[in-house]
Amino acid sequence: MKELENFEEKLILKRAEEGEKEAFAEIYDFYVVKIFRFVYLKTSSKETAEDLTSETFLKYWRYIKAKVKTGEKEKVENGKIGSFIYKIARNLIIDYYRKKNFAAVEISEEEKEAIIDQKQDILAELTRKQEIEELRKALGKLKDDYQEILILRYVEDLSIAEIAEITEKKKGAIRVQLYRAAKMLEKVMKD
Amino acid sequence: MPLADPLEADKFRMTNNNIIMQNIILKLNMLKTVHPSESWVVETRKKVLSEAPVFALKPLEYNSEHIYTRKSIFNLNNLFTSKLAVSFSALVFVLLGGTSVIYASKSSLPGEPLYAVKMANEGVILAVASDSDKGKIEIQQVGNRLEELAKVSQNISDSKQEEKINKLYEEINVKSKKVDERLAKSNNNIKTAEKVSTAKVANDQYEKYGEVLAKITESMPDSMKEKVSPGANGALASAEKVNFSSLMIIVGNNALENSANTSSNDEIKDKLKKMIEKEKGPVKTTENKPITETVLPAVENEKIETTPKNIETNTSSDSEGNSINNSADNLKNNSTDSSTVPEKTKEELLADAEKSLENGDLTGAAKNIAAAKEISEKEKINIEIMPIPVFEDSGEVKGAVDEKEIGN
Repeated sequence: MKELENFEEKLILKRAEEGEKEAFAEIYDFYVVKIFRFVYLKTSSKETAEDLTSETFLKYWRYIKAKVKTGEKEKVENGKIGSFIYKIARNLIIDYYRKKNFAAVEISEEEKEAIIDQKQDILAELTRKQEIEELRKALGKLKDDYQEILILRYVEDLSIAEIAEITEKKKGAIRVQLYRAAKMLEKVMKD
Repeated sequence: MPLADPLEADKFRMTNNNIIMQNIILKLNMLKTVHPSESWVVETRKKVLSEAPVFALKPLEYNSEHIYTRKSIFNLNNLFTSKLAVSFSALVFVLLGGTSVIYASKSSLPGEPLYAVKMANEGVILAVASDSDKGKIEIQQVGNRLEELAKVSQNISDSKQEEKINKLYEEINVKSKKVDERLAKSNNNIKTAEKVSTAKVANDQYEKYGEVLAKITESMPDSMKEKVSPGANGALASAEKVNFSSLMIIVGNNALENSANTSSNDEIKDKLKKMIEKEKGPVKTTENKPITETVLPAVENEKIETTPKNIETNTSSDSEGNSINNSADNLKNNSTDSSTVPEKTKEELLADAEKSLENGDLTGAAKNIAAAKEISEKEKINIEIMPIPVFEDSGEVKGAVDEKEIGN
C-alpha cells in the first residue's frame, strides 16, 4: 500500500487541526485496514480487533483535540500519523492483555472465513487459508516482542526507523531482534 | 559434511540464513491478505467520524479575504502580504515535498482553506516543468478544474455557487486556450515527438473533457444554466478547439510517418468520424446554403463584407497542425472575398470527409473537416455580429432579423 509522504501527512494534519472532517476521513481510510490487521494478528480475535481499532482512532482524535486546545499544534504537525496510530493501537493491546491476563484467544471458523481475503479458486484458497492459519498460530507462539516486530516489518511494511519509534527501541536492536525473530519463527514452524 | 575452509563455511551460513529469511518473509507476506469486512469498515467510519473533533473555533467556509490571509495557519506576521504568504508556504512545501503536496490538497474546492495552496502549488509545478512537459501538466490541471466544477455544481446550498461556477468555467477556458496555443506554436525546445505525444494526450483527454463539460452543464437547474451559460459555452468551445487542433497534429504526423500501423489508423479514423458527427450538429441556418446567401436580407451584405476581415483576424492565430497548415491557409484565403461564394457548403465538405475516410485518406478527411469548421466559425460570427435594428418612421424595423429564425 502506498505510504503517505511527509508533506502529505503535514497537510492532512493541518487540515485536521482546522477541524476539516475530510482530513479525519482520509486518516481513517488510509490506516483502518493496517491497524485492524495489526491488532487482529496480535490478539487473534476479530471482535477484539474491531473494538480496539475503532478505539485507536477515537483516541487519536482526542489527542489532536487536546493538543489544539492547549495550543500545542506543533506536536501534532511534527508527528508522523502512522507511528502515532500504531503506538496507540499497541498500548491498547497491552491494556487488553493486562485486563484479560492471558494470551491469544482462539477464533471461530466463521470468523476466520470472514477475515481472510477470498479471491482465488477453492483448492488454492483452502491451501492458502491453512497456511495462513498455521503461520498465525506459529506467530502466536513467539514472545510478544518478536511477534510485533515481524508483523510491523514484514506485514505492515514499516521501516526500521518507524518500528523503533513505535516500540521505543534503538534501530540496531530492532535489526538484531528481526533476525532472531525470523529464526525463531522458522524453528517453531518446523516443529 | 562440514566445510573445511572457515570462509566458505561463513559464506554458506550467510547464504543459508538469507534463504531462511527470504522464506519467512514470503510467508509473512501472506498475512497481508487479512482485512476487516467492508460493512464493518463503513459502519465504523460513520461512528468514528461522528466523533471527530470538528472544531467550532474556525468556520469551514472562509470568505475570500480569509483564504488569502491565512495568518493563523502559517503563523506569518504582517510583513508578508497575504498572497505572498501563500506562495511562500506553497513553495516551501513543493520544494520539500514535491507533487505529494497536490495529493494532500487535491480535494480542496474553491472557497475552502487549502484551495489557494492547491492553486499556488499548480503554478509552481508548471513554472518548474520543462517546456515539453508544460502542455501535459496544463491538460491535467484543466482536469482538476473539471473535477472541482462537478463538485461545486452539486452544492446547491452554497450561496456563492454561481460565482464559483463561473470562475471555474473561465479558468477552464483560459487554460484550454493556453494548451491550444502551446500545441500551435513551433518551439525549438520541444522535439516533434514530444509535441505529438502532448497532442495525443490532449486529444484523448479533451474528448472526455468535452463530454464531461456538457454533462455538468446539462445537470444544472435551468435557473443556474441561464446564469452560467456564457462561461459554459466559452469553456466548451475552447475544449472543442483543443480536441480538434490536437487531432490535426496527430493526423499530420501520421501522414508524415506514412504510418501503416492499422490500429493507430483505425483509432484516428474513429476520432475523425466523431468529429464529422459533431460538425453535422445543426447551426440552425437554412439548409444546404451558405448563410451569406439566404438568411440575411440583401441590405446586410454591406455589413458582411467587413466580416471576412474580422474572421481573418480572429482565425489568424489558429493552427490546424503543422503538416496541414497549407490547406488551412488556402481555405482562409478563399474565404476573405465575401463576394465569392465558397465552392462547397459545409454539408458537402463533411460528406467529402466521410468519403475520404472510407478510402483511407485520413489527411483528406481532416482537410475537409477543417474547411467545414471554418464555415461553422464564420456562421457563428455572423450570428453574433447582428445589425442593430434601425427603426424607420413607419415603426417597422429594417434589417433586423428575428433570432428565432436562425435558431440562435
